Amino acid sequence: MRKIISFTVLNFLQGTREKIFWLVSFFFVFILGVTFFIGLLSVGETVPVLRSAGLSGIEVSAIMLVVFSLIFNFYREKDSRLTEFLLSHFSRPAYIAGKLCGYLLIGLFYIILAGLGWSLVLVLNNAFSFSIIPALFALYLKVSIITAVALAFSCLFSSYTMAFFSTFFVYIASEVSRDALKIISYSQHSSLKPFFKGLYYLLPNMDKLDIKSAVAFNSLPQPGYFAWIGLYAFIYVLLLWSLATYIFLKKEI
Amino acid sequence: MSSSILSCQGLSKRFGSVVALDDLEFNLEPNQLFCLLGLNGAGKTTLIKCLLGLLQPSSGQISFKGQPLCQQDIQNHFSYLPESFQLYPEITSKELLWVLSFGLGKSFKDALEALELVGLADKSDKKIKTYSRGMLQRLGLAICLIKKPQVVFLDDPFLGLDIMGQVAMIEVIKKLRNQEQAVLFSSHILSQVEKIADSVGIIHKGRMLFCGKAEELLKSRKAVSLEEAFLKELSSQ
Repeated sequence: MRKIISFTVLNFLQGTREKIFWLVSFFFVFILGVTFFIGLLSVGETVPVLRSAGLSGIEVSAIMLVVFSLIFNFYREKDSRLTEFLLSHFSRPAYIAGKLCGYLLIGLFYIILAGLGWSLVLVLNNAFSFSIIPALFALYLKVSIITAVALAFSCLFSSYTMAFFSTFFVYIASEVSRDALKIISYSQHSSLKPFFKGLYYLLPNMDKLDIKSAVAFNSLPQPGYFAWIGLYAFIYVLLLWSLATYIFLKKEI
Repeated sequence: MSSSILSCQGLSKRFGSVVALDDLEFNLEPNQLFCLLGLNGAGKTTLIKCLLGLLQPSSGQISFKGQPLCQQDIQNHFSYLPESFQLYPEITSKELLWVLSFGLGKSFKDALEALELVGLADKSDKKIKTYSRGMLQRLGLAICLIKKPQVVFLDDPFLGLDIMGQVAMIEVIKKLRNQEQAVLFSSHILSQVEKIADSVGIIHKGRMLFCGKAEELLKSRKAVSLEEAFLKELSSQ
């Protein structure tokens, strides 16, 4: 456990002090500024627009941060032989667990920071509501799943580019899979339906974790719903972590 | 029973059809400074990686104190300093040592002692990205020493170091011997190897051509320097 904590702290310190962290934060400030002006232009719909656009901004920037930072650092450590160096002191499962926990912590830290900035914009526009807290929680679950996906792909592929594009592919596919399933349900080819249904359940069900519209219009789901999505994300991350550990154990460094 | 701390018998490693290590045998004694010599691509790093479990040998056996080597032995008793490695650039060496000593279950005092040993105690508050190659090597060595390993592996520790850096590194390696730690290192700088190594192993195309005391090599090859003996050994193949 000490080894995992140790790796978590190292990844967190490195990840939050890198340029990419501050670049993404700056990008989010820019999004906040745009959100503010969109809110001003959306007469009569200012509150939903501010809430929805702000949440989207946090989601996009948080996912960019964890994916870029995790994949970049994973391959940098491998290329610069830091992984070899660390593995003479720590076990492979501890290395992977520490990396995952470190980036889950970075994602949480960023979402808290971005959430505070966003809350400030909402307060200035009289649009603040405590419903943003469960919304940020649901968003963090999404980011956690994508973090675990990025880690699994980093362990699987020997190429930075492959890991990067595969992670983004999974993210986009999981975002649109619900709509794809709806389109397929109208299709004449019934043989395709089980395939797409299987694919939908295999990919992370991001539609279940997306409560942006509910927050925008103050119609939050019941608390029990959050417990379920929390459990879903936990199991999904756990499976991906197990997969990443298995692949990493088999790899020659 | 063998007194060797680390030994390998019939060790081979293949990457597809390429034979990187071919039926290698050698023993590392406690308190010994053993140097692996060989041309680029001879198999020195592959051997070290096999001994550290980073690569899976295709065949052969590795023993630690007479018992088959396991992952736990590697983590508890071995340390490795790779060639031209990097550390976390945005962290200070003090932070790094603090976190790693916690992870290794050692006190921060042990870590600071290791930093003192490599002569970096006064630079501990600086971020690692500001360190020179030589300082980075010494910091890496300090990390290796936190857990007081029984065997230290150094892959080309003099690479990229200026003469002062090389001298400093030699001093640290000598101190390791005084602390009763076995050191297995590889190097291309034979003049430095000659000064410190107790024994040498010459690897060529994955095979161990010679393994023994440096003086024996000089005697058998009728050479006046290690460089001459090494070249004669290679040319005899």
